[in-house]
Amino acid sequence: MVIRLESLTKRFGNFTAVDKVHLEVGKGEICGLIGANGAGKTTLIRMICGILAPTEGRGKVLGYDMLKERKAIRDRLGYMSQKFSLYPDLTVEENLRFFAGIYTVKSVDRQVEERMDRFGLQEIRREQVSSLPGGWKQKVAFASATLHSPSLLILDEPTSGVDPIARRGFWDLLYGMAAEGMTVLVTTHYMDEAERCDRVAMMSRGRLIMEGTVSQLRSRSSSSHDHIRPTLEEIFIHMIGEESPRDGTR
Amino acid sequence: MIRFQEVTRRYGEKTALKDIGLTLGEAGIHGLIGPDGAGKTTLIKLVAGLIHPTEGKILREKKLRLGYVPETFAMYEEMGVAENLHFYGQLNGLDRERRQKRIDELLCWTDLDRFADRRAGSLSGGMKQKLAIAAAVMHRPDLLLLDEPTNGVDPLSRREVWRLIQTVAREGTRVLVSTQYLDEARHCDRVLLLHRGRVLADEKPQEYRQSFPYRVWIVRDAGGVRGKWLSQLRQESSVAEAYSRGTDLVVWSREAETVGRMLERWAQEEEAGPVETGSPDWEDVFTRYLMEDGEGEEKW
Amino acid sequence: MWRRIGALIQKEFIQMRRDRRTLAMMVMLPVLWLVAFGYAVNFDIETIQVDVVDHADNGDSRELIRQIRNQEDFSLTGIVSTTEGREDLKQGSTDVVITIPAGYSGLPRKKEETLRVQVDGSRLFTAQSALRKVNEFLLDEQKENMNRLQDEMEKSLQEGKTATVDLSQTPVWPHLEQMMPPQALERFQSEWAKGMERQVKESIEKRVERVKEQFPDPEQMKPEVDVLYNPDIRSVHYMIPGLVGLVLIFITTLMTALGIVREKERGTLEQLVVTPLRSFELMVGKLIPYFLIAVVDFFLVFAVGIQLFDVPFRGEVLPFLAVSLLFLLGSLGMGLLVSTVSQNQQQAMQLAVLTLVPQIILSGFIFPLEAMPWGIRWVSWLMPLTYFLPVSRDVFLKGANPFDYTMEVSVLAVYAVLFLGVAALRFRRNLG
Repeated sequence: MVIRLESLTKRFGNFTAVDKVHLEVGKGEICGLIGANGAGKTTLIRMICGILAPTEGRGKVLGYDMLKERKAIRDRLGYMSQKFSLYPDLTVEENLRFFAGIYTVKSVDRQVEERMDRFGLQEIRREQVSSLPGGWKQKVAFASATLHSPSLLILDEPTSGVDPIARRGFWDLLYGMAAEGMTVLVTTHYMDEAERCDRVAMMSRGRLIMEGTVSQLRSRSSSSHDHIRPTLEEIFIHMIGEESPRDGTR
Repeated sequence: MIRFQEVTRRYGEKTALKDIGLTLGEAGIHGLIGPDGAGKTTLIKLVAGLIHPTEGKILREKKLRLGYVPETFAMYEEMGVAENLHFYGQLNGLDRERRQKRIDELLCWTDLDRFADRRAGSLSGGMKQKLAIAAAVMHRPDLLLLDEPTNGVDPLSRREVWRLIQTVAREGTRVLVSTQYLDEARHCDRVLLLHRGRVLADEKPQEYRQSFPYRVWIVRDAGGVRGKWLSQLRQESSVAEAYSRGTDLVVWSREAETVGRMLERWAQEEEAGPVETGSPDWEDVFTRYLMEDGEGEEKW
Repeated sequence: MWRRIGALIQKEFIQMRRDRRTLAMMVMLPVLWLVAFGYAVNFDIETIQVDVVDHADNGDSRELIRQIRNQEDFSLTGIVSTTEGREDLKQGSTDVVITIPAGYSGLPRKKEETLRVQVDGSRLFTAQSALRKVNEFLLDEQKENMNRLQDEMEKSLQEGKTATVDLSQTPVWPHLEQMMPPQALERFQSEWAKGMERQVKESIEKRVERVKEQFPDPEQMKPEVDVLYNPDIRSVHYMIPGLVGLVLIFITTLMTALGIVREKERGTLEQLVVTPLRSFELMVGKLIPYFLIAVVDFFLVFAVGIQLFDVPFRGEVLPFLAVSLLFLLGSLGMGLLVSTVSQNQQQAMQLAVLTLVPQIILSGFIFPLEAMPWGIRWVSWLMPLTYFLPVSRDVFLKGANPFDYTMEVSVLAVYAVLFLGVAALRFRRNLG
């Protein structure tokens, strides 16, 4: 198991952001973490990334203890957010070189060249990132997040707003890397994206309310639907509806 | 009601919209769908008259009453929900009695009645959008313009926002709404696909389905074999497109039988689930136009 | 560790190179400010506009007006009526109204005969300057008048001697004519007259002498003033050393705060947090480039201040640089602190301005600390600029050694450590 969380809890004062979460993700799996805003996705991800310490519970990420070996976890982790956290005023190559420096990659030149070859970035290496269209930006962000060949890649709403061809290309690459053994955790509230994951974990109000492969989730909740094949969005809305009455405010 | 004639809009060197010719104003919800940078906001601002075309002309019915909800939340955050609505009602010259009646109605539609006294700034994302829409339809406009009202809103609230839009449309207001979420096309009566400043297509949803030139197969539970299958399928000349959607494998082909039989055979030989014929989803539809258009530049 | 910091610094400089406008702003802005402020913070007014209201219209008053006309610092706007003078003062077309009372004679003996001077207190610095100059001028005038008075007294005393020497005019003369033969009488008269004259002369001389003794020497009426270090009392010389500090603290604080918040806004900070980069390394990597720019700014501001405004720098450069760097470190820490509590550049800007503006007013940059009431002065003592200013001024003007200012330097050091330390802690918590 690459990620194994046991009853992981995080409280901020009286507010419980993550409530006794059990989660296991195996090597090479692509796991989607879905939930509404404020469901606790971000807090959970930050704990897995080793930025936040859990209040209670235990967890191992890549075999390292979440509490004691956070530095080791961060060394082996890749992270990419929907905002494509690149420096817009730096060129593609400068961005890659910067992150190579931050990850203290061995033989920077070779790694950067190799990444640019693999992602087809050679022709735009001298372009400033700000001048690139969304799909390309995403590609550069993806390349820099995986520059150090992380064992675990965390994606935060990776493809919202890019065109569908770029999106398919992105997922193709992701499937390829997963097949090579990289584990991927995707947080999203975009159901289209969640449907592309091998497994999906749904969060609501800090708790994990459902977890399994997309077809497992479908078969589990089909009884409550007239359709033979409900969409993930329908499942999600149904589950949350059962979970608790809605409150309109933050 | 509004007609675009060869409209081009540039920002400095950048062309946001190019040679757009279209007619807006059919009853119902007109969806404006495309990824970031497609030109959605520019088009909506042109319709609203906030900006003007660099080239071409926009013909507009006189005395057209517009409602407009910009991308960023434009309510006064420190004011209450009802206070905001009163303010916009006053701007539109509604007298006190009509204003109160309309506000009661809108609060009910939006489910905001419980929060009438709450500060607008303290609402959740979805609630904020509903409030902004309510304020924009206080005066029952002829045309309501919504710029990405569901962007960044969670799935539950998104559904509520769409319900509200549908209610407004039923009242007789024509709606032009933009979104980057392709699957939201399903809520619309007419769908305009926009990409890099150009209109790819502008049709009714069922027409898109009917005109889709490929048959679609879906192989369920094919997660384990996707890498191998995809590389094989992409070499088949009869296969137009093959991609992985989670554990499903989606295959397009113009040829009706051969591909289906091949997939059945593969599925039996290896551990993969049933092969089903399916219909294209909105992403498939969009992708089709991009492929026909030879949009190779952003291809991976 | 150093490789990661190196990567950060390199990145920062690439960004600066790309963003020429910001770079130009970081380097040119301090100089521009210094130049603009340097000319603006001059409280000295060169020429004073004077209105005269002449109720006397005699020789003395005309003499006074002539003197005013001849005075270099004064520009006589006109001889006006009382109401006109008041009006001119109100409109600001004149700085001072001097009213000469009826019966003015240069040396007033009654209250009604004293000169009246009116200035506009709402124009504080002009009024102060004008008063100073008018007072000085009147002091000179008084001296002149005194001299004149003395001369007159001497003259009138000397006139008195011829009155009593001729015996033939006195009532005793007919008796003497009867008693003496004419020749003897003539001789006696001339002898007597000589004796008398000598006597009178002696007594007059004695009196003049006594009068002179009692009379103050007009030359000594003005005190002997010896201004050290800034002999012309030019406010520019006083302001520039302070301005150097002010410009530096402004630029460094703002630059650091904005630089870090920009990364927060763009989401790149979020990206950096999940890398092996430690918060300490991130902090150092961000601060070093800004520190270097601050040092460049220091030299620029320093050089421009000395060159352009002729401000003497009597101290030694290296010790002053050392203390200035200490001060800069504190400013960097302050910027960092601001960045940790702001979410966007606008907030950072507001907060930075909020911490900086009080320093302009309360640090003693413009208004002397001694003039502030106890409570306010206490606030002043919390501000780093308050400690840098006296050191800077004394090093510039007196050539002092900054390290003799043990209290000031140690407070600056404490601030540097405190700000950087607290900022570092907050920075770390913030990222987590």
